[in-house]
Amino acid sequence: MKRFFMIGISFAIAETVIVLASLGQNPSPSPKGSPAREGKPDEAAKFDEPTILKPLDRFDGRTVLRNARLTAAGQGEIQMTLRNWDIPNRQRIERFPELGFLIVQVRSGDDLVTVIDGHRQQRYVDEFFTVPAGSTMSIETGTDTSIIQTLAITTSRNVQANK
Amino acid sequence: MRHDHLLQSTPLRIAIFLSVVSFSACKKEQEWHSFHYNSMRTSSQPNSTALSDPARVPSLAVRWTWTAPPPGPGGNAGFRASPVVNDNIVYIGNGNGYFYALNGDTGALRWQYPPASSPALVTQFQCNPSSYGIASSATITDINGTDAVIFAAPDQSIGMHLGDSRLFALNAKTGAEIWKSPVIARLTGLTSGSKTEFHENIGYSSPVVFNHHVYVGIGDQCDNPIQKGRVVAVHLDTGAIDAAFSYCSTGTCGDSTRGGGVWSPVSGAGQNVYMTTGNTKAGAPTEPSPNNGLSMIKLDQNSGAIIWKFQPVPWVLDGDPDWSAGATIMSASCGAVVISTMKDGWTHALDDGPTVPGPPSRRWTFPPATIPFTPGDGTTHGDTRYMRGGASWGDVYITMNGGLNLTVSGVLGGYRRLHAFNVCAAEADRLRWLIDVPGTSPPNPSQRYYLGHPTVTNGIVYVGTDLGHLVVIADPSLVPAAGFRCSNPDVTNANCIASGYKFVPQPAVLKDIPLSGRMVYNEPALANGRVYVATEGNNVYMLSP
Repeated sequence: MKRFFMIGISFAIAETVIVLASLGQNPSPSPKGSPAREGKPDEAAKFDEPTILKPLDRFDGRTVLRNARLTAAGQGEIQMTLRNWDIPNRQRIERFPELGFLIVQVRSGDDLVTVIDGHRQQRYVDEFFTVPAGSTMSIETGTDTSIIQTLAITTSRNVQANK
Repeated sequence: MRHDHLLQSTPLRIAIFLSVVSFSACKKEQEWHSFHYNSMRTSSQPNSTALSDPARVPSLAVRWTWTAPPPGPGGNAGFRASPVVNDNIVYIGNGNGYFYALNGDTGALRWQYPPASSPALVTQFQCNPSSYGIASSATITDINGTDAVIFAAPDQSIGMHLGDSRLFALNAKTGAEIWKSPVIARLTGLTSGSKTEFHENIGYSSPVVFNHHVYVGIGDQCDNPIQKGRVVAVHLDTGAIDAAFSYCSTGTCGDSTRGGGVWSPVSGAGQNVYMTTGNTKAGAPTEPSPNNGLSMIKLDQNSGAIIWKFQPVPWVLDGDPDWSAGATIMSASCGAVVISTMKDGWTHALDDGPTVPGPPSRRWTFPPATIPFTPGDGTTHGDTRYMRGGASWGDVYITMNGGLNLTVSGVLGGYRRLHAFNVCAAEADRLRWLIDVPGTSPPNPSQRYYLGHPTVTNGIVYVGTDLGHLVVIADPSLVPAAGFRCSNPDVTNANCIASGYKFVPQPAVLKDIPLSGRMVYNEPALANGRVYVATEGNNVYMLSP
């Protein structure tokens, strides 16, 4: 039941967010985030050889939003994909591979930094943040393995924006 | 004359002898000889003392404080190990790489090892507090009639001279060496991410004396990179490695598979040793075979062969929920129960079962779950911080736990919370009480650690906090609860019953004493009616009512 409740909540959040997303796509600041940590990205010993990320698919489905503005723009139907990503410690993911507008939750790992369109930010467990469609997100992990959960919302327009 | 005459009476001599023996035994039992008290890692002082008297606990106060010398080259200040106590002497290693014996009455230094003029026991591979000097807690034993203290530490005088770890056995009275083991955990290079060097570490795995051996677990240096988890046994009399005992967490002991680090203290009971293991995935493309990572495991004490393995999180869900708390073996009214909380926040209780190989029998999991977890069940199992051992008292197990809201609300809320479980009860009565421990930081997403290892004596629970408080909590059967709260921490009392939950007691706090320095790695040792506790502030404290 909890799972379906969470999926229901996710849809509700998604409907709100996609409207906002279509209006202006700026990375949402973390309400509890601290200023960006000074990193040393050129420090080779800080990161291991990149691993290929293999997400765990949790949900994948389409839905139609009853929003006149989006329907008129041909974006009433959206694809929603919920995935978990294990990111080993000491990794730098130059370009996070998920497409679309992303709602991201950090599920574990206390040593996670994202760089979204050049904006560098430390992330914390349980934190939510968004990534606009078409943005580039890099991820760096320190001593902890991290798990992030992404809800990717794609329309024909923002899939193209990522290409 | 009359007294001399009486002493010549054989029956009286026997009676006096037995009295002395029983007094000595009683006195020994009131001490704290190992991390988590004993080989079963019960974290429980069973003898009644002032510390188990709710009327006397409120007068608990600091009687002495001892501060370790500042660290030299390669050392770090602070205690991550916990004290053990024997014959009124307190033993503990420091991040500065020295091991100390203190007078239990006064805190005066009796001896240290090695001498201050000798190099400290530190490693050159330092990345988190598990590699700061001596992080492993000691254990007390008898070696050929001599009281001995055994601890694990890095030592740059052996191997590649980088800080391979070994075991040390010292005369408990004098600090003189009895033996030093060969290299136990190998450190053959300092290259980050190297797959050709060994980066093993003993870390927090406290040695246990059992079956006339000393067993200790091998983990790694902050997963840089993960190493093959192992348990090593050495002969108690000599410190020589017993080649007949062999346990490795993945593949064979000689192959290149990795993972399953043994971060936890090894436990011993009956004819078996028990431990828990860390992750194996860490970006690996394929699962090692066999994969004994993320498991609670029972081994044959002589061979290291697996009797049973309980692996609730399959490889596909391995997001690094290392099992850091060790296994506690409880002699409960429903039988011997092996119990521990995994780093992801679930507590698992198993029947100890027979000593012949076979699958384990799970009694329960809290929060309730279908085990093994599956990709479709909505759970995640990552590098979260439910890492401290639990304490057992009768049929009660006190531990950190993610709580009934774990899968909905995330992991942070449970970091400051202790749960007490009725181990043998029906599921509806599993949760005995829960409390958000005072003296901790407010919930903060950047905060990782809030609580140390709890210990208990006859229902009175002692625990250290990140703000350096020693908090004493009374089971509601001893002192009326401070109140009641919903068993699901997210649900208000007004909605509790209607939401399908029940009220559980919130136990009374008998004492909250601010000390100096975090106590998130440490446990309070409850010995002879006194509390001995160390902090990352570099202090050892003795408190008594």
